[in-house]
Amino acid sequence: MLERFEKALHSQENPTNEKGYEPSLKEVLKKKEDSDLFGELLKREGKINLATRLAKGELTESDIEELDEYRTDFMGSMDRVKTVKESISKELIHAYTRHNSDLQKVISLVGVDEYESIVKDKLARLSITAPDDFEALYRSVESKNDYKDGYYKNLDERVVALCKEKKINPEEYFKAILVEDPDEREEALRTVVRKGYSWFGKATDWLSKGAYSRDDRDTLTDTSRYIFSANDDMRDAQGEVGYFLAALTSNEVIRNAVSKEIIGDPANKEVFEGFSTIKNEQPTKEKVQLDWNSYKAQVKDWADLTPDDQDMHRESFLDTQKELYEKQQSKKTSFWSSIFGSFFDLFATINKDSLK
Amino acid sequence: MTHEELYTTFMDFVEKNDEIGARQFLIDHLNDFPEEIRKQIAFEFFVDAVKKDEAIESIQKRALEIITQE
Repeated sequence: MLERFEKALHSQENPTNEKGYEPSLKEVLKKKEDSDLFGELLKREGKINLATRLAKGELTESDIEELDEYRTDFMGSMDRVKTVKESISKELIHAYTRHNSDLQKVISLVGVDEYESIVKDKLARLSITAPDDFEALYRSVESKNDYKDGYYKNLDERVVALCKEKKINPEEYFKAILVEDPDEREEALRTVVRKGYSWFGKATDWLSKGAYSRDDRDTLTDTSRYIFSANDDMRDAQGEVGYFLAALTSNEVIRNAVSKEIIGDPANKEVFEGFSTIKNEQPTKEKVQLDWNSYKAQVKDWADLTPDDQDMHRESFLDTQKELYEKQQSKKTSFWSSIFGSFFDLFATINKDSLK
Repeated sequence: MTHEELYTTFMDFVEKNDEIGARQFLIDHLNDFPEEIRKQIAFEFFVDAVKKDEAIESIQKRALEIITQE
């Protein structure tokens, strides 16, 4: 049936396809990597039964029409992946380290050549399993392409220039942009701007480590102190512009402000999972052992099975556990959710032999 | 570190709810993880950085708008 449909599809679509050649469903399914990703897409859309019928070769006419709609989505995603992939370069990756010391460290460990290759390799899967994250990446890369390397420098320089012009107190500006709630942040910024300030004198004082330790220690908030301690080494190197950039490196205070910004629409909070939420869903040895005991109890004459058959059951059990775990994690997009998701294999590796 | 030690040490950070420590642990032991997990962790740091970068850009742009308006 699939072949018959493919013929009809080719005769209808290919001659008028303005985007040029587009792989048919059959061709998508032929390539292992594409086929796996297509399966992930069906899983993401909750089409497990359809995916099962596809795998078993038991498709109906309506299944094929539905699959072709998903093929169109899939090809659209792959087009966007191609665009992003072509834009990924060492320079672009470097641009993201500007505000992110963790990324700097990771790249230094992996090596920039390999890192570039890892990022490119992982894009296609990201576009299917975490489309929101991929869209953020797509927008960001497009934006960086539009403005090239000078964009951030210009943005930061504009902030500095405007603060000078409006006589805005830079310390107050910092505190305001780090307010977590976006509405409260906006109000804080407006207040800062209205107040104005003798910018130059205050900035000089603020930038000086001596002034900080001498006069301001008791009055600075924890927020400011955190920024100071994290960025002593950066201030000297980057001067006035760096003074603004320095506040935007990764630390706990900034992470909170930025996290709120990433969440944006309150409806998205459901998929924005923090560390403490995710950790409660992580499989533990005890929980897996209990589930294994229940599974084993249902296997007839377990003790009489050969070691190979017992191993087959262990593998099957772990596969099911992994599938359940992935299903649980599939709609979540946070850093920790993804990290924990990738850990299941590590967990399984160390526990396979312990399932007695 | 063995895989078991990696997992159990990491889970110690999780149990203590020490997110900063857990991130640092991932970085410090990145090259000890099996190849595929190492790549996935490395990539997640990139996605995380991009999302933060976008958020910072958004905050800075809005701040500029406000400074210009007021």
